[in-house]
Amino acid sequence: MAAILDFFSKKQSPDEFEALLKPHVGHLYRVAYRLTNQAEAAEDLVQDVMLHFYPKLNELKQIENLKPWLARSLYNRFIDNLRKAKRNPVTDAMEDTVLETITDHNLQPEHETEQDLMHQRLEQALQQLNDDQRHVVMLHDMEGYTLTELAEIMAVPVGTLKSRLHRARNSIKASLSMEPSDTLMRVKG
Amino acid sequence: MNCNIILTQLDDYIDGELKPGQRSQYEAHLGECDSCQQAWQQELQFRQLMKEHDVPAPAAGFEDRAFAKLPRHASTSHKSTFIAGFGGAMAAGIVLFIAAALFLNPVTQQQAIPNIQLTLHEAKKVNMVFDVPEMVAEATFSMQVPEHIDIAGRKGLHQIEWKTALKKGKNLLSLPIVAQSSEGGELVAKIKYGDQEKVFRLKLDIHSMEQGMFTINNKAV
Repeated sequence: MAAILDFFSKKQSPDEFEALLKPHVGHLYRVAYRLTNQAEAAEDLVQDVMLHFYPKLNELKQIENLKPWLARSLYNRFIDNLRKAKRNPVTDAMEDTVLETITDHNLQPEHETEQDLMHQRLEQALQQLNDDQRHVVMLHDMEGYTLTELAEIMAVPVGTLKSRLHRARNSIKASLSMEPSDTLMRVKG
Repeated sequence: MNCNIILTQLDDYIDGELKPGQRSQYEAHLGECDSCQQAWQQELQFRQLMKEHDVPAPAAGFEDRAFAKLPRHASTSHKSTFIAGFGGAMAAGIVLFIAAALFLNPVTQQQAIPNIQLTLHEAKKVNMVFDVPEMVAEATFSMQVPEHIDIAGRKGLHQIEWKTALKKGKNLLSLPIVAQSSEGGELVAKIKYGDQEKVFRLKLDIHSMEQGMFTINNKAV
């Protein structure tokens, strides 16, 4: 009887799963978008994560702080997908032909403000970074993860992340003509 | 602390990585050094810019679609293997409109306008695939949707035009749209390249019930 009760207590409830995960879906989408830079790919990634965790509801319920935990899983899946794509370029050849997703970037407002232009330049600067630098600067400076959380999420030491972050910021500042060395040189002089 | 140390540790200070003792020394220096204070202010402005660099909002209905692959929802998924080839495009309603062999075959006779069905107030992606025999360095696209149909996330915008390059082979263009009234209409896509222009029309029928996926091949007018 106890075994039967245990079986029923572990039975998956889609409603319960959704109730637990729904508050995190928006944030996961943001992280996924930061990683993939494409709305559809971000949606797919979040869907994959939901599917992955669906059989693990009871495990999820035990986790105190789900946000970084889910982000780590999403990041791991993203990296796995990247590795698979590199191993099998033929499968993903079509991805390279994607022209545009209109809502992502190329709908230009009629009147661009100076701020809009600055963000366009920032986007270009971000795209010039390597993946490691871009991911850390986006997740830290834009999504607000701490270095300790990112060390856990990305499985990379804090010192390495600090160094990537520093290089990424300097590269962005250089692209935006906000030379980081200006002030330093002024002080030294 | 001297100015060099202050500037070297600026990131750590803003990121809250300094120990309490270091932090108080740091702040004492900042309080009396104009140059370092200026550097700190500049860094804060940079961080603010970074924070404000937001991601585009997902198309309407995303929260529900996020759970669309779960076993309970599996039967409602619209994903097909063909669509999966395009990076697993869109779990929500998909419309695929293929405009093949662009610029190769000039159209000499009027063809029937393909139509797709939208569900009222539900975002649906119209995917257009342009198969180009060779790379096009600069083509001008323009899209026009009826007034009562919104481009998802861009309410009030019904006409757009932009320049882009086309790669040799299949190029996917994805346009999420939402019907705001039951009145139908036409989506018109124009592509200009050099002195050539091609116009694609897509009839939009609006329904209030869930619809499936429609594939329309090579329909240009």
